This record gives sequence, C-alpha cells and structure tokens, in this order.
Amino acid sequence: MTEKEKSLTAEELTFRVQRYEPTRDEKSHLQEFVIPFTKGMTVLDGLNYIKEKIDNTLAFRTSCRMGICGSCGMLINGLPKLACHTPVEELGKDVVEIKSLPNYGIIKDLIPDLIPLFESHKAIKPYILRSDSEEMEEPTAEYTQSPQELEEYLQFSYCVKCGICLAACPTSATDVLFLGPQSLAQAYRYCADSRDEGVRERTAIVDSGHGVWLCHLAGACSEACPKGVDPALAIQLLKRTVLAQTLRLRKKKEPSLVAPPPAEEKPKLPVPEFTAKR
Amino acid sequence: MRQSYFRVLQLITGVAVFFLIAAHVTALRLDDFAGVFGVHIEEPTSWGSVMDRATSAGWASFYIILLAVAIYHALYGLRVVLMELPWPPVIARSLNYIMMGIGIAVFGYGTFIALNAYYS
Repeated sequence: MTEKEKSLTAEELTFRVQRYEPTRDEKSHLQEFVIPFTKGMTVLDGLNYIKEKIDNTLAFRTSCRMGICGSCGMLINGLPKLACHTPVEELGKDVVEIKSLPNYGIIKDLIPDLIPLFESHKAIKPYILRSDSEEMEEPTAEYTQSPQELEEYLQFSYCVKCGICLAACPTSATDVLFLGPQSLAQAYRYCADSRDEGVRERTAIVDSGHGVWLCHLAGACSEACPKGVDPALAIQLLKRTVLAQTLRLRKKKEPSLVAPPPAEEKPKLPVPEFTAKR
Repeated sequence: MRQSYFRVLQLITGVAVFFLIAAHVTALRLDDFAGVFGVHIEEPTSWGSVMDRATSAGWASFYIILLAVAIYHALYGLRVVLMELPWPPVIARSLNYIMMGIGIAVFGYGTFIALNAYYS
C-alpha cells in the first residue's frame, strides 16, 4: 500500500449496496462494502472504488460524472438522487444505503429498467409537430422565436431523462399505467413551444384515464429533480392547456414563421495581423 | 370521452353539492338561522313537514337533483382513488362499468323513493 492510499484509510465508510443477479437471485439483497473516505467524494466515487478495487461484478449506470447525462439515478439513503451529484458528506452518515430506483424493474444490481420511462416519453411525441411538413423535411432556415417565447418552456427543457421524478412519484408507485411526471412535463414543454402545433395531438394522449388528471400534486417529482425542472408545475400548466383545448377556450396562435433570409451579407472582419501565421 | 369532460363535471357537481347540501341543511336543521332571512319553517323534522316537502314538486325535484350530483361527485372521486390500486386486469378494465352500475342502482332506488313519496 502506498503512502497516499494509507492516508485515505484514515476514515472509512460503509456502503450497503443492493445486489441482484436475475439469473441467480429470486430477490435482491444488500451487500456491505467498507471503503476509504476522501474529502469531497460523491456516492458515485464510492461505487467506482468498489467496482475497481473490491468487486468488479457490481453493475450500475454512469457516464458523465457531472449531473448532465442522468445515468446514475439511484435510491440513496431512501431518496432518489443522482449518485454523481450527491456528496457523501451531505448525507451526514457513515453508512450509505444504495438501491436501484423504485417504481422500475431491476435489470441487475443498481440498474433500473428504464424502458417504461422511455416508452411513455416517446408516446407524448417529444418533438416539434407542425403542419408545414415540407419545411420540416427540408428546412430552408430556422424558425423564429423571441426570448420571451423561449422562457415559456426553457426550464422544462433541462430534463436529462434520469427517471428520478418517476421514482419519487406516489402515483407512479401505485399505477403502472400512469404516464408519469417526466413525460407529462415534456408534453407541456413541447405544447408551450411557440414553434409547435401539436397541442391537439398531445391532448388526445395525455387526457386519458392514466394521464394528466391522475397527478395529485404531491410535488415529490419537483423535490427530487436534480436539474430543477419542476415537473409538478409543468403538469399543472399542462392541465390548464388540456382543459382550454378540450373546452375550446384556447386562443388560436399562429406558430413561429421561418426566419427571413438576411437582407445583405455582412462583410467579414479582417483577420488581425498578430493572429496571422508568419 | 376525454377525461377533461368528466373532470369539469366533477368540479361543477362539487360546487352544486355545496349549495344544495347547504339548502338541505338550512331547511332541516337551521330553521332559526333561516328565520334571520325571513323564511319561517315550522317544525322541519315533524312528520307533517316531511310529508309536505315530499309531496311538493319543487322539493322532490330538488332532492332528485341533489342525489344525482352527489352520486356523480362521490363515485367519480372514488373511481379516481380506486383506479390507482393494483387491481387484476379484468377488474381494472371493468371498473368504470362497476362504478356506473352502482351509480345507476343508487340513483334509481333514491328516485323511486322520492317519486313514491311524491305520488303517495
């Protein structure tokens, strides 16, 4: 053991990690690992340490290590969080219990089966829907959008599809057919986009028996969301949109137009002398 | 039919139940309170008063409407709660029909009693 490694073992942490091998286990169990604590370490750092130095059969999803990809959603000490975004010190305990996200099946160990999340996300048509199909197929320019129009949905577009909101949702826990906070929030994100014309199409999908009206506004999704998306707010705004669309109270709004071509091309600035290669 | 229509009807019946129950309670139990507004009800729970109301077309209609809106409001709310429970697929599929059946049966029985009393 090197000098550096010795100093790491001055303080230790216990990671109780859920293990499940579908070909072998009938149900999951917890396995304890004692790992060295280092200042500023995250739960993901701990799991990486276990995988690299103790047990390489441990399975979990991870990629960016900085809360952008949304891969490492897990149930950490009873709360759904991103492992890379959760410093161990923040938990305030030297025992960290890590399980797979609830409200999903388990593929192996800490890997949840996110297929239902992606299926319901796909179902609400998470893309710009427009009637000018020719322009959509072969775009001539971008659609115009003012900063105010962007603000209407910007917050909801930060979703990284980590699935944590669905894991926290009490309605999803009891009703497997519920579309879930992630897809409903994304339905609103596209309905609120000034370039989109798909409100009617999406209303037909979310205004169903297991759709938007099953949300009881518990707010657990917004509490858990690591990106501050606030899906609960999006769902309440979606309810308003759906109701206005169904009762024909919605103001007819023309979607954004294609940006006009620039009047004249601006002359290119000359390359400064000092950047030119000699 | 879209859920929004049922939802809006739930809100409308909720408001209607509030005012209809308030009228019902005022007529039956708050006779002193009604006197403040110049409405004098003599012994509202006596046999004579009950039969007077039962044989009045206005009161009979009032109670049938109250029954209808209360049944819809209660059963829709109950359906929303029940839909979230992990039922076997057969029950989950027929939950709407079960609730509708209960609603029609209760409404039919209540209306029969109201009309029976009206024509007595």
